[in-house]
Amino acid sequence: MTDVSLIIGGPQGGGIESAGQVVIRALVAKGFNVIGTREYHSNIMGAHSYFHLRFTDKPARALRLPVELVVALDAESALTHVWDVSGKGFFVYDADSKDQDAGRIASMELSLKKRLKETLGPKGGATVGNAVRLVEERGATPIGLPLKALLKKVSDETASPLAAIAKTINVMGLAAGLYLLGIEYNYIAKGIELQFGGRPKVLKPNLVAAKVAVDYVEANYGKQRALPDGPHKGRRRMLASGNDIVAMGKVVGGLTFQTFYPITPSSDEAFYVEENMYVDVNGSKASIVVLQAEDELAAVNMILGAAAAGARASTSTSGPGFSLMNEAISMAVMAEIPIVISLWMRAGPSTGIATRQGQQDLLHAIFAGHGDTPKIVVASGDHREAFYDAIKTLNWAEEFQTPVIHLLDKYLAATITVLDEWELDVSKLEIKRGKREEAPGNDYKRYEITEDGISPMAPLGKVPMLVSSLEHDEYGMVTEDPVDREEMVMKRLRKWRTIANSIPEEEKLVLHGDPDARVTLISFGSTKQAILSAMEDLAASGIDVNFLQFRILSPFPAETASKILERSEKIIGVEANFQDQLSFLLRAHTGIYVPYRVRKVNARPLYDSEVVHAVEKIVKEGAREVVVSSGA
Amino acid sequence: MTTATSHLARLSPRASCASCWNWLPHVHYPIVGYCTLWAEATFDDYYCPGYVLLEIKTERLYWCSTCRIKLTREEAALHWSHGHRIFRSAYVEPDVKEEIYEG
Repeated sequence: MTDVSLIIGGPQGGGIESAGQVVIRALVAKGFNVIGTREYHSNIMGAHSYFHLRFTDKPARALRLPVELVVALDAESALTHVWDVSGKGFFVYDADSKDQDAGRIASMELSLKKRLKETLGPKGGATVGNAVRLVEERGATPIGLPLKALLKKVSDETASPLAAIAKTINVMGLAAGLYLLGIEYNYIAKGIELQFGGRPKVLKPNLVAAKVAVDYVEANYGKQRALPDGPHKGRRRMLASGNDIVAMGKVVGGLTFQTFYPITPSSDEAFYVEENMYVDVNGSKASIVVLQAEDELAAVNMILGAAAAGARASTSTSGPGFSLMNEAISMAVMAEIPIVISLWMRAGPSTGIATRQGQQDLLHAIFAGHGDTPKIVVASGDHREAFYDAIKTLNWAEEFQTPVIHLLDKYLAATITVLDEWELDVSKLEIKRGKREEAPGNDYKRYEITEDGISPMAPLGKVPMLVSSLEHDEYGMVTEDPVDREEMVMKRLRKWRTIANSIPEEEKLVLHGDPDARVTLISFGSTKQAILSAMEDLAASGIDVNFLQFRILSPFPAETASKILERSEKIIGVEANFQDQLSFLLRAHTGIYVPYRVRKVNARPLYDSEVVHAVEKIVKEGAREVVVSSGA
Repeated sequence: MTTATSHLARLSPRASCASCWNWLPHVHYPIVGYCTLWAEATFDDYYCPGYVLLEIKTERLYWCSTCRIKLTREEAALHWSHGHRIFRSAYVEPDVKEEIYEG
């Protein structure tokens, strides 16, 4: 069985993204399932960034530490990942950087320098050379690549200008690393061709660079070990990030109007929609309107106007932008306007760590807006869920004429995975627009009192009508009359009950694993992947757990959750926030207290190995709270 | 056509591109850089007759490749005194910007 993890690190902007893309393509070409994510600084060009991948012949669900391969393209990467390589792994670094000291790397965090000094000080200082000694002592194999000499060789072997060759350092590093793991040159070349195929001037020097690096490793470290092909070799498959997949869902889900104001980690969603804005609808061409607004206030208010006029409208943002959208969410509830907001959580509060992971906006999403403003909140756990959820959120917004928050996060946004086309089956896709009134008469009541709380919706412009943020009567006329007010509040309440009863329970939460397990993990969002992956290892070590994944957080599936959790002897909350936001909601709705906690608050992804460690600490050693802290 | 490399001799320890006024190091991988005299990329240990020793005299912005930041003349002199590598500017190829994400 193949199950290998690796990290490629270097300066942000130094080809780390391209390197990751090449590696993923090479591994998919060899037939493996792959998952990979990028970690990067928010605002410092040249600060350390890295791509973390895992490839396996099983489903690739989650990332894992330690890794079997670290490729460090500069001194900062070698020092940053000195703790991440496993005892049987390879540590590829620039042989010319051995004398570089952490103290002289300006972009490195001061705390990291301190930790390195503590670890490497006894060896004579926090240098790359001492880091190499440390990994060697731990059993890993250091591979010093003379990058400058290899680059000169590439220069001698290709007629390309040196400016083009300079960009191949990343490819030399990844090619050497993949070769050590048993990935043959032809797959590495395939990955390079798939990534740079459209740019012949870039393609050739990169192919030469990969060959030069592979030849160097073979000549100095021996013949390559054999690694069997993965089970999917030769199959045509799809690569997509979380941002891509949500955008795909929206495009096929009938989106007609998307706004955004650029903010990490949401922007790529809108960019993808923009790149695919021309769609074929029943044989005729149509276009999605994509607008970059001047700020998040404009972005959300634009979709309010567009949706009121009949568009299927959404926007995307992250925590800070969502804060600015609060008032508009209230208006969407009051005016019963169907909008979808993709909320890509990141590490807060405030600007926080803008490009890092967090799950801290659950309560923000639930309670956004003022004055009794319930809305649907859906949390996707992986790419497949995110695709279908993107479609469902558009349907639910229009069926129930309400704001819908699609809760996602940075990890999902930046994570690329491989999918089969059948996993994104749109053959049964149904675009639901709810109660529409396409031919309203002069007596049209936009807010007609109905039993289910939902009034037939006509788009603005068909007949004179009033839509505002003020309380209103059935016609939309502003009123402060107590009877009108009570009728409208009760109408909105009935609508909320309709929503709660209309969405099937199986859509609201999923119990993974043995229903009779004594230990139940609860969580929401992208932690699903690490938990599911960890469950396999926990079962192997004799700890039988199941996992209750909350998919819809509002309306909260209180009754079903209670029935499931009352069978469990030990409930463990797993969340990337310190307020235990899901546990808070669970207790508020059901009275069930979650006594055991696993927290991840260092703004890095949750790794499956951390879940295993934390659950073992709780189950075997009686710990009540475990803070897991892996990740560079 | 004459190219920069035909004029270049490698491995001159004292007077190489790495200390030349005409040379801009790659923003991330300063073992290569761009020669503004010959309009061509070179390695940092190349040498040519057009070599001009970089001195921090002119009132202008400089590039510290150790810290990867632009500096005033006074700041550059200070960084130089601490052993940092100072240059006239940096070479930023288009692909670098493609891989930078917004905050």
